[in-house]
Amino acid sequence: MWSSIFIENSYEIFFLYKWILIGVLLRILVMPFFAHPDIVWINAGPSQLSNRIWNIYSHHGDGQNIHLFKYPPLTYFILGINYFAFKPFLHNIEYFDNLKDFNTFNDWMINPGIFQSLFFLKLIFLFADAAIGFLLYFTFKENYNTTIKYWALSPLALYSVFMYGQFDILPAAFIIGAIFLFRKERFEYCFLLLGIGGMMKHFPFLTLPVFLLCVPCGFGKKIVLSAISIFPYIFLSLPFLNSRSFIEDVFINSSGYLTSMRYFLAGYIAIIFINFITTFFFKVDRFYCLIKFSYLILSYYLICSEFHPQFIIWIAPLIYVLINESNRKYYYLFIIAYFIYINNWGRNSTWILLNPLDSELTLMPSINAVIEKFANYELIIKSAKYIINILLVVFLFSKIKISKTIKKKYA
Amino acid sequence: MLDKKIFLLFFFFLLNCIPIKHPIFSEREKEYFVYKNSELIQDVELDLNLNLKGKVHKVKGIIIVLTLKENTNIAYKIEKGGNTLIESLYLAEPAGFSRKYQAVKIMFKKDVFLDSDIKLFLKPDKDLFIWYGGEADVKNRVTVDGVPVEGKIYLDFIKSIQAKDKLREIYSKITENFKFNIFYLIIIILIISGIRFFSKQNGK
Repeated sequence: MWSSIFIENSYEIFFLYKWILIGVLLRILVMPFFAHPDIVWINAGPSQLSNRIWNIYSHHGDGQNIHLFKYPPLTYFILGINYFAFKPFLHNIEYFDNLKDFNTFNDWMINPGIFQSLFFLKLIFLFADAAIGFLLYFTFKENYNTTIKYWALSPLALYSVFMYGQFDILPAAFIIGAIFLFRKERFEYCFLLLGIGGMMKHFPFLTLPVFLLCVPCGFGKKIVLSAISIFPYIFLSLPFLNSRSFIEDVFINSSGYLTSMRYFLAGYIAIIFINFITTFFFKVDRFYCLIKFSYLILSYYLICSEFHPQFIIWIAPLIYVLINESNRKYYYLFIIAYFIYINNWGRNSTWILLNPLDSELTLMPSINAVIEKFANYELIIKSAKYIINILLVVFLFSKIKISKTIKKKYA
Repeated sequence: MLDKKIFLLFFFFLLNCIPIKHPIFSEREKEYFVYKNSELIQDVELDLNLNLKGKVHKVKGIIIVLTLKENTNIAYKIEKGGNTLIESLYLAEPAGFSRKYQAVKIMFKKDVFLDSDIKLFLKPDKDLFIWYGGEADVKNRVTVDGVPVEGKIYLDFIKSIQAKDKLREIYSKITENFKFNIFYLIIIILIISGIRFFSKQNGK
C-alpha cells in the first residue's frame, strides 16, 4: 500500500511534491503572523500536561472553576505532547505554567516572541494539512491534477487553520485518512482512524453511519468495525467520567450544538435512510457512495448551523475533490461568499487575527460597522450564507472520476 | 446513476436552507451588574497626555468598554455644562451564535473631551451588563493591560495611530527576534529551492 508513495518516480510524483511544497510555503508564510486569541486557550489547557496534570477537567474545571478546555481527552494529550515537544522554542512559558494569571494573555500575544511561538504551535496543523494533501493525491489519483492544486492554493485552509489557528484540521486529516484506507480496503484501520478523529472532536462520528453502511461486509463485521471506532473513545473517557466538568464541558457543551437543530436531526436521519436505500438496493460503487454521503452529512451540518469560520475545514478537502472544470466558477463564488459570511463575527473573525502584529489594529471598526453606514450588512451576510448553502448542494452533484473498485462483499 | 437519485435531495436541501440559532448559555448571567434598560450617567475626566509605562502618548480619543447583550443598541449623549456636545446611537455588532454577551467599545474623538467638565449619558435599548465575574472565570472578561474591568464603566484612551509609525512598529517587532528570523528565512529558502527543483524535474 505504501510502496507507491516512496518508490514511484515519475512526472506525477514530481508534480505532487512541487504542489505540496507550494502549499507548505503559502501556509508557512502566514503561520507566524496571524492568530485568534483562541490559540492561547486551545494550548493553555493541554500545556498542563507538562506539569503532569493527567485530568485537566478535574484539575481546572472542578478544582478551580476554569473551563478553558472543552474538547475530548485525546485532544488534550495530542496538543499537550505538541506543547511539550516545542516548549523549548516558545516564548514566555511562565504564562502557561502559572495559568492563574491568565487574564494577561494579551501580554503573551503582543510579545515579540509570539511569531516564533505561533510558528511552532501551528506546525502540527501543517503536518496534518500536508498529510491531507498527500492522502487526497493517493486516494483520488484519477483527478490528481486539480485536487492537489486546489489543496495547495486553498484560501479556506490558509484562513481557517493557519491564520485563525483552530485545530479542526487534525480530526479532518483523520477523516481523509479513513477515506484513503477505505479505498485501500483496509477497513479495520479505516474505522480506527475515524474513531481517532472523533476522539479529538466529535464531528467525525457524524459520518460513522455512512462508513458502516458503505463498508462491503456482513452485519457481524459491521458491528466489529463500529466497535473499533467507538471503543477507543469510551475507553479513553472512562478515567474522566467522575469529573463533573468533563461531562459538562465535553458532552453537554458539544451536544448543545445539536439539540436545538431539529432540522439537522430530521435531515440526518433522512440522509442515512437514503444512504441505506442507495447502498443496498442499487448497484452503486461503495467508495463513491461513501464520498458523496460523507460530504452530504458534513455539509448539511454547516447548512443547518451558523457555523464557526473554522468548521469549513471539515469539508474543504472533499470540496477540492469535487471541483472540476464545469463548477470551478462556483468554487470561486463559494470562497467569496465564505469570506463575506465570516464577517458575521465582526472583528472576532477579521481584525483580531492581527493581534500578534499589533494589538491596536484590532480596534479598527469591523467591516460590518463600515458597511452598515450605507447598506444592510445583516442582509448581505444572510445572502452569503444562502449562497454557501446552495453551492454546497451544487458541489454535491459534481462528478468524481473514480475507477470503480469496491463492490464485492467481504465475509 | 447515483447523482440522479441524490438529485431528489436537492429539494430537501432547499427546504432546509434556513440558518438555525444555537442554544446560548445563560448560567453566567448572575455574575453581571445588570442595569435594567435605564439611563447611566458618568462624570468623565481626561488627561490629554496619557502616561503608559513611562511612555507619554498623545490622546486621540476615548473608548468606553461595556458588556452588552447580543444586539443591544445604545443611545449615548455627551453634555458639557448642560449643552449637548454629541448625541448618537451605537448599533451593536453580532457576537456569534454561541455568545450571549459581547464586549463592545464605543470610541470618541478627543475633540469631544477638550474639557473635563462633561457628563456621559448611556441608554441601552436592552439590559446593560457590566462584568464583575469571579477571578477564575474568563468568559467575556473585559481586561485592559491585564487588569479586569469589574463593575464599572471603563474609560480607555485611543493612542494616536499613524500608518507610517504603525508599519515601523510592526517591522521592528518582526525583526526583533533575530534567531527565529534566520531560521524562518532558511526554511523558506529551502522550500523555494525544493519547488524549483521539482518544477525542473517535472518539466523534463
